[in-house]
Amino acid sequence: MAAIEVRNLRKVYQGVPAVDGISFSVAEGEVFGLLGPNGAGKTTTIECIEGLRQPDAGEITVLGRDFRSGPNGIKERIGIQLQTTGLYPRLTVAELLSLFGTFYARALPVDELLRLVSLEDKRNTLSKNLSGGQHQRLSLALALVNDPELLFLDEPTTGLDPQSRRQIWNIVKDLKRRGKTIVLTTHYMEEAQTLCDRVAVMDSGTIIAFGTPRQLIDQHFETAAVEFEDRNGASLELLNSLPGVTRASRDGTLVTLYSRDTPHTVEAMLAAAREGQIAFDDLRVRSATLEDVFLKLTGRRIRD
Amino acid sequence: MKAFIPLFLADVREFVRDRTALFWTAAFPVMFIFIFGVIFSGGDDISFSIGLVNEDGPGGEQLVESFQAIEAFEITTGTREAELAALKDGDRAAVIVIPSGTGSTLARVANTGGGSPAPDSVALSVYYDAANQNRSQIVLNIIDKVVSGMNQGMTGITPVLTIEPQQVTATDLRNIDYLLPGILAMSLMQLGLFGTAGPLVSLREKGVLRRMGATPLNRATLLSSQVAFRMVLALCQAALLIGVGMLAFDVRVDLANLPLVALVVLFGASMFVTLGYFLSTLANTEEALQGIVGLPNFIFMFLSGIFFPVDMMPEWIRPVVDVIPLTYLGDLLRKTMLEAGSYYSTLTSVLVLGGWLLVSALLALRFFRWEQQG
Repeated sequence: MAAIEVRNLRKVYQGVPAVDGISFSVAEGEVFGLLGPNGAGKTTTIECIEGLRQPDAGEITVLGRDFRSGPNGIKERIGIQLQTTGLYPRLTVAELLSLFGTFYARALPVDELLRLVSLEDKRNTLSKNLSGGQHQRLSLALALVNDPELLFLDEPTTGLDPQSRRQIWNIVKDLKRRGKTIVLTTHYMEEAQTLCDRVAVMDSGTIIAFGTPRQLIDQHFETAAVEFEDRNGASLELLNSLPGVTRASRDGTLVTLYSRDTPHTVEAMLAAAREGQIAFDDLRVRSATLEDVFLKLTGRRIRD
Repeated sequence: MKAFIPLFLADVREFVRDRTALFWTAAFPVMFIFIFGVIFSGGDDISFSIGLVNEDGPGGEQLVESFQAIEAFEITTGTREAELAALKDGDRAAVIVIPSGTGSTLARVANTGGGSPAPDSVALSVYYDAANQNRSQIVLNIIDKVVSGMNQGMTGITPVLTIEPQQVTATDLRNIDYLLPGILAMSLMQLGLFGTAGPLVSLREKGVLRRMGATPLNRATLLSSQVAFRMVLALCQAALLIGVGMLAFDVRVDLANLPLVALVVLFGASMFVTLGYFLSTLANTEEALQGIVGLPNFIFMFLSGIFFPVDMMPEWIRPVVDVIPLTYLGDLLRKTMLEAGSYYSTLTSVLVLGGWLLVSALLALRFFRWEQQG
């Protein structure tokens, strides 16, 4: 049985559709990612599923139940991490965890929650004195207070340093091993690729691609990406004509060539450089990522 | 409802750990009491420093003793020059000079038994500071009474008509007595304006209410714990202020009336806390709220008659005074705490405060939001 079923979800703000008729389902035990740039409609989607926003149209079934039939039965079984978690500033970590425990019929012990998110040494720290990463781990622990079957994480690592980000990733992987169903939103490709079993790529309120990260990449790119800083503004015509190149794109001075035959493409580039047709810095070859998928589908990079 | 006590404790912890909140709810009103108590001291319980110059030697001793027996006087004896100098320095409220020959004159009058009009008399000189009208008036009155008492004693005439002083609180209210209920009323108002609206806007602005809304927590539980905390806080404030007033300034609070006082405190606090819930709907940020609650705070404080009697205010401002809830809360508290005469009838006060409570509650119910809009 699907943990979540969304059909034709639509939400309009002041005449502008934030989510424009999307449908998808999330299977039990999977980590499902909503990937897209800011303003794509990810948060609106996840908050409609959480029951925090009222959809204008469409049907949402969570754990076999419709939110309109009374949310509290579902609220006992789900855990929510909002994009920004506001907390009583002058309560300690342990006090907040035990307070939130009283909101549920059943709650995990505070010590276990602290261990889950590695905050044991911060148990008596006031929440206002936590660092960004610690605050985010606390908000993750608060989402886990009721030992939920289904967990929603809205941009769990946005604004965190790489080390804190990896810490959160490890916690999410650990939760996945425990069999939790997790829905997360992110605009980090790497995060989606590392954590998610399946991804829905969103842009302007619609889903533009759907599948496992590997499927999405393979579907759109047979091979690798050749990237370089272009110094004298080579034309896209010229770049597209290089052997092996399936597609060339330019973002400022950064040129990306998708190639099904990397050795030949690079060889031809070096030849063109000798003849003065191209001048480049920072030449590198990498495999295609979800970022490339997004770039191909929308013509824009995801992070701006 | 099992979250009620934990939420209540969360409010307590937030409050106790917030120095600013502690200052405004506890230290600030206590400071008010001390500042006003000291500025407006002067009343029947204060003693006056009186200089006594005995120029009659042993003959004047009896009079000296009589003056020393007066509780309101703190007698210092010395030479005429020294005492007058002290008076000029403001160290004495008055200086009484007993001229030489007083003792022998008194003895002669006592011997004749006062049967015939006594030809002899003694004039005590009383020096006072004309610049300090109020104090001098009180001191001269007391001296006058003391002296006429002595005259009666010595001449043996039993007065037909005597006055037996009866304490009537209405006329016996000192400034601090008048102020204490007012300061309590003020602090209850500020509990509603700053102690309720402020934290609510902050919790909403930070998204704390939104986060709790994502849990099965019942909003009625959250609301009732917040209100209960503020009611307890109101009672603590009342106990603190009444305690300070009684201990430091000897305000005679009618202890038998304390349950009634508590009831009035809860009534007033619930009115202002409800008003706080409504005012919190008018602002999205704490900064914006400061202006919104600052204005009523200022107007209510100075136009409500909590610091000085309503009678003293100019007629044209009375329509404003008459609709301010703080006016009636102060009046009602004064009446219950001190058994003092009140300006408005109890019914009027209860009705006006009840009206404010009702309107605030309706507006709060209509406009209160748990989440930031947008």
